[in-house]
Amino acid sequence: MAFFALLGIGDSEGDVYLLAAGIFAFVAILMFGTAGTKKKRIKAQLREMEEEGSLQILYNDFSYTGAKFSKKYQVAYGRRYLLDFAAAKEGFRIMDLQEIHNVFRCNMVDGEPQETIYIALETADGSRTLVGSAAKMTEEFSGMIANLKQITRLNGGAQWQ
Amino acid sequence: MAVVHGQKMVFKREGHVGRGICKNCGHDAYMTLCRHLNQGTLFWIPVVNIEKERGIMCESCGYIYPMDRQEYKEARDKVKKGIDK
Repeated sequence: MAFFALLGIGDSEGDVYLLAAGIFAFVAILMFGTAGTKKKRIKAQLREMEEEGSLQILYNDFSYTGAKFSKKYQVAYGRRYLLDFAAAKEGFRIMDLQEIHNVFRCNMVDGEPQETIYIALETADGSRTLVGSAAKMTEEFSGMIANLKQITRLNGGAQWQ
Repeated sequence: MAVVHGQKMVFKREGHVGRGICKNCGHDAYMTLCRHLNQGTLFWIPVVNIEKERGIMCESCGYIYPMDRQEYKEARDKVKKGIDK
C-alpha cells in the first residue's frame, strides 16, 4: 500500500495506468532478481521515470505479446525499447530501437577478441553498444539476435543476414 | 611443493589476409587468420595449446569463419611468404 501511495494512486482518473505501471515495475524487479544496491538503483530509477511520466511509454511498449524478457542475459525488449539491466552503475539502460541500424553478435571489445559474446547494437553513425553477455551461443541468444534484427529491419535498418 | 597451474583463453592472430565484407556484421573490415586456443599453464608458463577453433576472423566483430586444418596451414604459409617478401 505504501508503494501505491508513493505512486499517487487514488489521486486522479489515470490511476489504472499508474497501477499498471507500478505492476510492471514490480514485475521487472522480480524478473531480474537483483539484490542490494543495484535493486535500490533500479527502484529509484523507476520511481523517477514514473514521476516524469516516461514509465507509461515503456509499459505500452512491453504490453504486447512479442515482448521478450531474458533473466539469463539481463535484457528485455519490446517493439521500440530495449532495457539492459547489466549496466551496473546506472540501474538499467534504455535504448531506442528505432535508432538502431544494425544488430549482430560480437566478441570484439576495444579491438581485442573476447571469450564472451555480446549483442552489438549499432546506430547509423557507427556507434556501437554491447548488451547481453553470453559465454557461448545458445538458442535463446540466437533467437534474441534474430528478433532484434527483425525489429531493426522493420525500422529501416540493415538488410543483410 | 605447490604446483601452480591454470588455463587461459588466447586468440592468436597470424596475419591479415585482406579486407572484405563480413556476413555477420556487414562491415568492410580487415580479415585476419586467427586461432582460438585454450592454453594450459604451469607456473604461468603456457605448456599445452588446445585449439578451440581456427579460421578467418573479422576485425570488426570478432566472428571467426572456420577453416579445416589443411586450408588453415596453406593460408598461414601464404601469409608468412607475404610477410617475408
